[in-house]
Amino acid sequence: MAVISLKNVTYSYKGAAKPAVNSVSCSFEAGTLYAVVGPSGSGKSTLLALLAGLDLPDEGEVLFGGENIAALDLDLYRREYISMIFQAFRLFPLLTALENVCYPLELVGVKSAEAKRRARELLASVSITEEEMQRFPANLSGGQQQRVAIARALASGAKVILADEPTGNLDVENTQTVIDILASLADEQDYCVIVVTHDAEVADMTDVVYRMKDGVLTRER
Amino acid sequence: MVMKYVLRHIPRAPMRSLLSLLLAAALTASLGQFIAIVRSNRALVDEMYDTAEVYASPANRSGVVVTNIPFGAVDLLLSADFSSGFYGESTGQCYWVTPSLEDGAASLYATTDPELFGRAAGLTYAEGYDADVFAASRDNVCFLSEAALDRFGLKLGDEVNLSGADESLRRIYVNIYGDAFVEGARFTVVGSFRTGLGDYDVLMPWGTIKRLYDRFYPGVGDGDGTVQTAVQFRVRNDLLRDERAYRDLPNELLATSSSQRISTLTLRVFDDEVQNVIKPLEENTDLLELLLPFVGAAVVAIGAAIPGLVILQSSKEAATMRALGTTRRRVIAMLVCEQMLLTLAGLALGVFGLFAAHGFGTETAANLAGAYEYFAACALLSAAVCIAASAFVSAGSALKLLQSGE
Repeated sequence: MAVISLKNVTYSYKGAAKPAVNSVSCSFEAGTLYAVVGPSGSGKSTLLALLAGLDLPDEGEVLFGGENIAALDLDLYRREYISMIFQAFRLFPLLTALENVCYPLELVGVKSAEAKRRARELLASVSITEEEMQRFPANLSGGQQQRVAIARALASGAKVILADEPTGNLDVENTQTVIDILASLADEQDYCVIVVTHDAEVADMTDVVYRMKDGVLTRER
Repeated sequence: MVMKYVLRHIPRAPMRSLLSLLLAAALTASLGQFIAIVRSNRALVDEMYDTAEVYASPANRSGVVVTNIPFGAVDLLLSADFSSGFYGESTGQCYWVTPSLEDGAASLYATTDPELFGRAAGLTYAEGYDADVFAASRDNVCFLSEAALDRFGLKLGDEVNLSGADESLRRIYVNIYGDAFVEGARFTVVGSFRTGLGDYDVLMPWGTIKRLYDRFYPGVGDGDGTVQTAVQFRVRNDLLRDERAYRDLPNELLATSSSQRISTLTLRVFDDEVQNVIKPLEENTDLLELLLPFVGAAVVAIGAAIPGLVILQSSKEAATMRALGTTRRRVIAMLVCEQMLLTLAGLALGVFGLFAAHGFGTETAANLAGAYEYFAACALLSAAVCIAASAFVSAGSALKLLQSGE
């Protein structure tokens, strides 16, 4: 059953001649790792942003569990139902790795001590050591930062992970690690993981591949 | 959660926090110091106006102070109501009629204030008499020297006869026998002086000689005569800001007098201190007071702009927070709290620094109390700017925030 789906979604940026996303319909299911590929400017990141509720489509609907997210509190939706991972990691620079993972937990009202305990578990699950947990993002490698970002995405308990070029700033070894983590989340923990990438090798490692071109989405594999 | 976030942020961006704190403190201290200077200058100007001793004396048309001032001129000037007091003295000649000092020449002095009359010293007053009674007196009383009292066997409370001479001689005779050869007046000896004046000189109240002028100098004219009268007026301190009231109006009065002797007089005011010290200081203070709102507005604007700019620099973090589902209100609260905490701490530090520099309980510190409205305005405007800036960086869809924060 589709966890999240798009129904005739169109979205245009102000002043743009063509829509960034043009009448897209598709569904994403739990336990699957998806890739959305396409050249720069094809609209794939915009598609992911619409799925994440970062904005609402001009036309059409984004459905979560069958409910139009336009009817939901979008802050709550982003806080509790989906998680995002960014190419530039977007960790808070003045919070330690541990505190970055605590942030979404504290945002939903988890007490500090419990938040730290769960954050430690999540960070350990992505191979961040206790010593690394106390470091600030600037003192972590790119791969470590992205693993912290994955732990932060897992912290809210949302079962949909939307990753925008999560390996774009990583070397081959770290790319493999991140994709392995995301794949295991889909396979072993029934997450719906959607990865936007322009890296064909990353796409090859996913279960389903969609191609985005000029705002139009087609299933490739 | 907001305060936890804020309290983590402040020490972890030490340079940014310290700069915000010190800038707020420096601006507060600068503004406070400026206000303290303005207020203490104003207090000083007021005090100087209240305590300055400005005197004025009749002068000729060239501004040279003259004596022989007609009593009528004195009355006219007193009616101008510009003086808080005046000192008058008259001098003339008198002659003793005694067994051993027949026709002995001496001087007659009259003054409004025997204590100020520099030449008489070692004054002794009869019972019930003092300097104030003397100054106000128009009675027939006089002071004689201790030497004269000893020599002629007089004591305080005795009477002597003072009589005017014939018109041409203009003399006053002191007849200790009490029977003048010209009709005179009996004077009670109410005091003595030890030194300063001559042994046979006579000192009496200025009001008395003014009253008896026509008796001593019959036929000279009603209030238009003089016995070498010199006067000095003390200008009212509450008029010192109004040059017209203490200089122009008295001069206009003199000029319009029907008496030619009076109308040729002018009033010379010795107000150099007012003109050369107090007025320039007052003008500077006026200028500073005029500038104060502008300086205050500039300082408040800078003080408010800095935290606003810091918040605008936090747009990337604000975008991430919004993307993670943080409500806009919470984002605003986090950003505003952090900057306001630093701004308020800076304000407090600046005020404390000022007090510490000037000393608690000093006059300058008291003047700083009036600066609180500026400090409050600074805090309020900072809060408003912080709210506006954080509302700006968190406004719009999370997608647009993320894209603009890239």
